[in-house]
Amino acid sequence: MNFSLFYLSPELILALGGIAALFVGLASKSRKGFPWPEVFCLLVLAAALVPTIAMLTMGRVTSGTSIFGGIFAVDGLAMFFKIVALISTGIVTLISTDFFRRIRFHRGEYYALLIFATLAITTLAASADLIMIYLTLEFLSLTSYILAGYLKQDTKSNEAAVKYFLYGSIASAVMIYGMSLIYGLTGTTNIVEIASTFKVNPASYSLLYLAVVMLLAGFGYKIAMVPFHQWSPDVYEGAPTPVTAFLSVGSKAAGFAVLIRVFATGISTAILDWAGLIMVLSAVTMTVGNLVAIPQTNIKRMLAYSSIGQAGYLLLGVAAMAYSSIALPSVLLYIFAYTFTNLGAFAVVSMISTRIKSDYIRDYAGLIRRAPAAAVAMVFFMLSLAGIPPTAGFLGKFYIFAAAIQSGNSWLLALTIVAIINTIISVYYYMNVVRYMFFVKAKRIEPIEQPGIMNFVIGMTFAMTIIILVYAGPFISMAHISSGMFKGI
Amino acid sequence: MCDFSKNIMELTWLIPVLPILAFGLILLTGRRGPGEGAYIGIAGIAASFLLSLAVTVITVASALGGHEFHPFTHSVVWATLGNIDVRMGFAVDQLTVMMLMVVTTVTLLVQVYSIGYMHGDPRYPRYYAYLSLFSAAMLSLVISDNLLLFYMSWELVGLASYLLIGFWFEKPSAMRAAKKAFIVTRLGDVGLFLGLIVLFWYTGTVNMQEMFAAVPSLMGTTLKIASVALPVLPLAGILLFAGAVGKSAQFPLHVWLPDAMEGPTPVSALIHAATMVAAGVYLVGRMYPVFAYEPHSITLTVVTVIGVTTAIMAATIATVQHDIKRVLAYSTISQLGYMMFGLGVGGYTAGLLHLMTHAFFKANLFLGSGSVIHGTGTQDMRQMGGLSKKMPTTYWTFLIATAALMGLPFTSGFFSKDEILLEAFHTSLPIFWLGLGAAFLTAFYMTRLVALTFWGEARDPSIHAHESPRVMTIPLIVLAVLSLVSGYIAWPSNNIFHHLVHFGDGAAVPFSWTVMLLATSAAFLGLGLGLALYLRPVISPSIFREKLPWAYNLLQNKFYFDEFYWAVLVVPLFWITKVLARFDARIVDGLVNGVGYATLGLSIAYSWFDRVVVDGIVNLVGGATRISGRVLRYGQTGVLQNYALVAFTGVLVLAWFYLFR
Amino acid sequence: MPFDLHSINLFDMGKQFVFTLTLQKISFLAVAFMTFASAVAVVTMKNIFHSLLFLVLTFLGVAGIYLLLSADFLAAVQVLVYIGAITVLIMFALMLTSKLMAKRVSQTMEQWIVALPVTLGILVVLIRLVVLNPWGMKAAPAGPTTGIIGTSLMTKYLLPFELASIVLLVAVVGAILLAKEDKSDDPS
Repeated sequence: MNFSLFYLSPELILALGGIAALFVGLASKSRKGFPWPEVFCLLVLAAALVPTIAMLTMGRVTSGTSIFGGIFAVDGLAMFFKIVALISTGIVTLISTDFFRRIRFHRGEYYALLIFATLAITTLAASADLIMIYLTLEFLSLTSYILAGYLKQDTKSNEAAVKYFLYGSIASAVMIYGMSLIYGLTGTTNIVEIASTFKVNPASYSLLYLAVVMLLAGFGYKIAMVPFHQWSPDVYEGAPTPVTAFLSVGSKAAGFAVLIRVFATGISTAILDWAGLIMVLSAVTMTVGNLVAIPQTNIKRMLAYSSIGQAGYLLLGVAAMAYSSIALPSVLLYIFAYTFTNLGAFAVVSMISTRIKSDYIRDYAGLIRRAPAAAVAMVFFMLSLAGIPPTAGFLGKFYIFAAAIQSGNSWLLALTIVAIINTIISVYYYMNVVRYMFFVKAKRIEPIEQPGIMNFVIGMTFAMTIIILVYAGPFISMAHISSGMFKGI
Repeated sequence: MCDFSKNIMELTWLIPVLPILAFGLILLTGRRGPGEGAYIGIAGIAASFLLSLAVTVITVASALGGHEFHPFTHSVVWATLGNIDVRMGFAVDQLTVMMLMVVTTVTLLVQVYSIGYMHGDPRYPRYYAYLSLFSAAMLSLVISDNLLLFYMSWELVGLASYLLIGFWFEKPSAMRAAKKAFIVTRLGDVGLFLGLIVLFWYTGTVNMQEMFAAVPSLMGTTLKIASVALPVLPLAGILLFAGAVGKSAQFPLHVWLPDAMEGPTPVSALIHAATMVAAGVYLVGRMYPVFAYEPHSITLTVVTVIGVTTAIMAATIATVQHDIKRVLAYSTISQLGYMMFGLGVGGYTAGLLHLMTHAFFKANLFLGSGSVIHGTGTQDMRQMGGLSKKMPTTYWTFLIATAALMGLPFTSGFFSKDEILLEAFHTSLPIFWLGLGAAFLTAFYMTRLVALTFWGEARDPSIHAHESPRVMTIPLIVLAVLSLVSGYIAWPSNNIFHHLVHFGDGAAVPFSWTVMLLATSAAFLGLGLGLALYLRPVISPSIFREKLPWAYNLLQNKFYFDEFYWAVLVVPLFWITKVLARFDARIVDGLVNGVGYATLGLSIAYSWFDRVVVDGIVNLVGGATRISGRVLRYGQTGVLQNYALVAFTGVLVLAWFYLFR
Repeated sequence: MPFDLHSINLFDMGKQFVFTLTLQKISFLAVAFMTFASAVAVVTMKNIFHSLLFLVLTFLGVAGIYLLLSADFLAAVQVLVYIGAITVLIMFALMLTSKLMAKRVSQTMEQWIVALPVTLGILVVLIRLVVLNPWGMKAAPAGPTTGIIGTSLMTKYLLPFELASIVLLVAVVGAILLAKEDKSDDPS
């Protein structure tokens, strides 16, 4: 085997850093002193980010290569999702420092688990082999189950963990059945080899289709795609808010990473025409997500359905990958914009709900008086999620819809119209939050304490939400560079 | 253009930036700012106004200078989509400077006026912050050289409008109105967005000038959506127009504007009369080459029909309203319809001239009504009367603006309305007669409004009206002067305005005495009928209500648009979301209860068997508990087994759907 | 192209089989029946301890199928890990909680009336597709597979092998965290 260890450096840093974080946690038991576990976690993430960004800018890497005999891809797509994972976990770490301030919890292990979850996403993003995909998906799920149940005294959190665990086990069981069918059809687990096998020897079409549906159960559960979405409102509601933020961004991005890779390099449209299937799922997902979000009264549940709706828009972009060359960059750009927007929204929710001790939207009444900066930022996060300018979400939606229209496929056009109707519907529940914050009189008016660290997180995500639109050039070119993929030697 | 002028023109981008700076500054300083934020806002918009004035002078001078005029543009690369560079920037031509002058003038006057009107409001700095945000968005909309920036500003304007309508959110009606305005206009915005995407992909650019250059090559191009072939140009035009319909409150999306009167009156004057609602007309004017790709295109026909329908419909509703601001709101809708059908029948210059004159006199009317509301404390005209003596300045300025709105000779409205009717006369006679009808109705309802408000005796003795402070009346006087004189730039024999703002080869339609006389007599006829009903009641004002009660009720209820939308759109949508939410959270309710209580019966029978045969009598209590526990469990959310069932059903349906279809 | 399934009747498929009962086939049928029957018993028994005993039988059956497929290493792992470790662990847990041992609980809920057709539907789809598919059969490896698996774990699949160790670490940490009883004076 001949490869540079440099290609594996982010994973090595995260693996060693995660183990070390356990010891750092042991060494700093007291809450009073310097916050070593938090700082160490951020340092590890930053250290892993450096080689990742360096690799993204290397020409040979973005066009795609692989190590370990083709099971670990080193390409633009992998680097992009690694960056998203590292950044989002970094933000989640910052949110956690505030969220867990008054709660007893096992601190060192928590941050170690966050690092391991990131490791799971980074390896998943690079996995080009069904065995690796299964292993890393299970790794990510396992870590997420523990994190979701981290508030042991809270029955809702316990319930969330158990539900998540049982549902995830079912979904991954279905998925591995599909994988075994594909292995049976091709005799290999490497997705590049799967593609070449199918090209030489077209397989039984209907069996492959069934296998793809089964794979989608596993991937769909990670991205909260209807009909594999029902765990998400319960888990989002019960899990500690920073973990919810992680699930809605990092974990979802990981699902898209593997979905994109399998469909783009393994089972391409030349082998199986999956675009129609994805379009149907996209339409159902966005419609269910957006409609059911409307009557929600709990903001975390509302954001859960909202993120189901967002997955629907992203699936539209995935379906467009079959016809348009700019569809993949548009999906990546959307994910990047969504990362900052959604984390920003969860940062506000985390900060506010720990202080008002409620997750209900009605208790956000009069927030403009109680926490003006957070309320104003929240308006822009909501606008961005609804895809209204001047926010990053608008750029993402614009680019995805443009890709769908550019493809010239009439079903995609019809789906785009469905998506646009959905964005109108979504305005209702996003603006509902704004309405409560600005236009409803608060029962209590004393200001809500806004610690510096949360101001930093909210300010940063807010700035990114604006900057991605205003200074879009670099982000769009990043999305284009990142759509380079390893497709075999 | 000399270097100095060029340098000034380069600064055009500052025009929207100055108010946004004011916005930030007001947010930062709050009540501690000069004039509690008011002076910051006014300083920002005043600077924009001066800069706009300079830009206008330079542009007009070089356009009249005899050389061929090229719009001044400046742009930078914003993003690269695929292989297309998307550039963002500004473009200044004659239409731009007209809009710049209208927006900055009215905004400046409204901000000054608001010092008096909003005095003592608990959220005073926030009010000025929102106003500055609005001006910034509106001005960037005006100077934008590309449809994308235009669309972004368009949405931002909508956001500012939302915040300002709901400004007095203690009133539940204000909150509802704000939400309604936002969502209804968004329906139109979606059309604009789709139109933008369609144009973007067929022309490969978002720059307006480049789009126009590509229009001839798009003739006959079609877009296929599932075997339906749509011609691209009319499609794009109608989609863009949908945006204008939403923003300019045209039929059938007009329902939000009357409710938007819940906002503070200066806001109504600025946003919902003079500037933002006119942005729809501006959009049609801006994108006119896309609409008028051929004379009498299908797009222009749509614009005409919607415009004239709106003009007539709103004018009839305005005749029976009692709330002074609602009369003016319907009047605004009607006048916007006027501009639309003016543009639709090919009267590019006429429609845009009316945009400008209307902005001045309608802002004047709204600010005047604000002054009346400020002085009397009510909006119901039935409680007013006899205010002409108590509020002389308000009265006289209001009268001038009313004359302009009616189109009485030698006021500004006279010129613009005549030009629209002239264009209609030469294009389509039915449209001309309908326009004339609307002019008659306008004169009638405005006479009624003035008579009820200012003439006669005070009807409510408990109201002690007083004239408003100087800071409010001076803007009124300035606007009254503008309402009077702004039309003279379009004097028929020497039409400077037409020379500046025209479309195509720019030949003006010949002046016609017939049209002028007919238009003037329609106005005087309406005035006469109004006087006969309300000044010296020759005819009883209630005759209409008594003789034709059904028609009166129909108008009083605004043709039941709100009720219709409520029953057909809103109620079903909410019903669906509720049902879906229940279904999604507790699928078993839907499934098992759907399968029927047979299941429950079965389980009871089963547990009976269980109890008696297997476990014996001892477990009787346990069995009962178990059943009740089961029933209760479905009352809670989230039974995991159901989620799994849904997932497996999903797998089955997806597989089955494909394999056995 | 999609496979046209309209013309093929599910119950005609028997024609394709050649009924020659070799020893291998008899043993397969026996093992498969045992696996299936005990799996059904696992989910229908009212006493959880009985379910567990049938689970052991199911695992054994699966190990038998592995053996018939010449996957000797997998069969050994199946017996060692699933029967030797996992079920024994569950058994300890059950025996330590005496309440559960004696309890008789129905494992079905009202949903079964809907779930049954869905499950049968998936079964029909699977049977049709799997049986009709022309599988390219590979010859079974001649010798024991342990060496081959060991080699590929240490060469080609080194990365997943190493990663699995971290997954185990996370599982251990998680198990301890969730099971550990928090002392009230625990500072962190």
